Amino acid sequence: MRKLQFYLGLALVGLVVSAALVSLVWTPYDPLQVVPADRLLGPSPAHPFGTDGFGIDIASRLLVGARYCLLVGIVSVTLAALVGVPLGILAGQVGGWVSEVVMRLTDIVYALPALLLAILLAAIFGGSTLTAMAAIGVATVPAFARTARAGTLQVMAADYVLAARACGTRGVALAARHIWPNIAALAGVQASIGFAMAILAEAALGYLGLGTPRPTPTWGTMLRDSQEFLFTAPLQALWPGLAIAVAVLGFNLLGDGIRDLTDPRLREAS
Amino acid sequence: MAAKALRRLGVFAVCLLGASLVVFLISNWLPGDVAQVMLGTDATPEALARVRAELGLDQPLWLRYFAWIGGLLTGNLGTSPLSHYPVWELLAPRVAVTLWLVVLGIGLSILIALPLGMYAALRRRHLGGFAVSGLAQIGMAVPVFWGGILLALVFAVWLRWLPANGYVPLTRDPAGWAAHLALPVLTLGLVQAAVLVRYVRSAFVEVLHEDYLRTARAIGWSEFRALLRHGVRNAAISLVTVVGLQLAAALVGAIVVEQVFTLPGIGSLLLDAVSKRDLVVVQATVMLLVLAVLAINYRVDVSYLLIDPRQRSRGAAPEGRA
Repeated sequence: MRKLQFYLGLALVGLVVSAALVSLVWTPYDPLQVVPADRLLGPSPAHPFGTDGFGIDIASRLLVGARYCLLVGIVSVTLAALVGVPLGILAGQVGGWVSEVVMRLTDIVYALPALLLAILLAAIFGGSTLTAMAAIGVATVPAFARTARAGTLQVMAADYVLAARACGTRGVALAARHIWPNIAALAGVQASIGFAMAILAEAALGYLGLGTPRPTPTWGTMLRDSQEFLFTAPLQALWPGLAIAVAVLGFNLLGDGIRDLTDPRLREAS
Repeated sequence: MAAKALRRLGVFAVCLLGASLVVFLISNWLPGDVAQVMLGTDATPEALARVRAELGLDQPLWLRYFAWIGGLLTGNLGTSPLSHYPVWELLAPRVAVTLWLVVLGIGLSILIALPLGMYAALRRRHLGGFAVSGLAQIGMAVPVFWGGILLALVFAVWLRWLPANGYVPLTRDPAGWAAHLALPVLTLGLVQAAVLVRYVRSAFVEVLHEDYLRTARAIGWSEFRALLRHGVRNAAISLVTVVGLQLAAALVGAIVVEQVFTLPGIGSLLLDAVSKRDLVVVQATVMLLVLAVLAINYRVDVSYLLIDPRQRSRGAAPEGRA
């Protein structure tokens, strides 16, 4: 039963990843080519999801949209993990004022949610894939730092760490040999859930018109465009939202699945 | 206890100062060019000079920061150099809209999530509990704006029961006010409830494993009665953190929901200012929202002391599951 969650998550994530990979070599139609004669077609064998307000095949745009969803997720989560995890381990390992400073820094960043930070950046630099990735990445750092710190504190209390320290292992060697391997699964869970949050934030930015600019197809901007035709072509609003939900559900399930498989204590509670 | 509350007030002040510095530095990233950004590339040199003088861009960065923060503390949020209105006057009529949306949305989410989460915890090994958890998992994956669009599709386009956009003040037309807020509040409430259900469930599952609950069961109480008498207060400690985080998330979610239903709230003012590149308004509005988030977190920290007597004497507040 527990593995079901993991495998379901893996399957949904696999679906999104393969959509992105397929879009690199093949899409049914050109995702940028405007065809005025084909405006707002309903689903048909030629266009399984119909066409949008510019007459562009929605299936092709959905496939390419998967690329941007994954790109923003990968870059922002990697950035956040590379900064957050070492900071968290440092805070947990050294403690004292170092921990205090790190925790207060995470408090400050927590007060600036990804969306707000991205809006601020977009006001200065104009909205782009880069500002979206930067804002989401920075806003995700505290989650990694806090998770890593909590995990480190737990590991530091274990007997094997005491033994290692008695043998003279400390500092970076201790972190690399004993702490990191024991909190890696925790970081993996955080990465997967952070990925889901990043997809939601990227889509919201696209919807607000502050993410990757047109004409690049992203799921968020597709939904923004679809709202114009809510009364005439309501199906337009269905597909991009469904795509976002599938991707987010996939990464959330994957994260929960990893947690359940690696941490038996949390099985009941989560 | 007073010392602890005071310490948390100190932390709040430090965070506020740090966050204001971050917001200020980002918005002043381009030294001297803020006027150019606001007026665009075709601005006349005279207009540029006027805006630069208005914003005090000829002064050093640290002086401008203190002038800005001093203004914030005395309630002077600056004047928009584009519309020439004081920012406070732009914000005032919009605060109520956003507040109604957030407060009613969170209220609705608690009303939905508390009973559902308790049910899912009590029936966690049964189909019913499993179904609630599954629904919550799906609800969490729905982006708030898509949820809003779908609700508008059903209730405004197909059923024609409720308006899909616009706003009427409560004082002018209470019925119209309720009709216009119904879909936005439902959107925000449902999406937040999906997240909240999971936390309510795990908080109660944890409590169900406690010894005092087993004792209560052993003296013949039903699981439900034991949960109501002993469980709720204990679960409340972790739930207060989550509702605090949810409030902050709802504030950001409101920006998006306002956009879906074209509500004239703080979020739409912010986005409008972003598209016009009115950095004075953007900076002030972002800072106001940051202040709200920090104030909520501070309230959460202090409320631990009130709910949980154990916190008053030992240990730190429990870490929120981020």
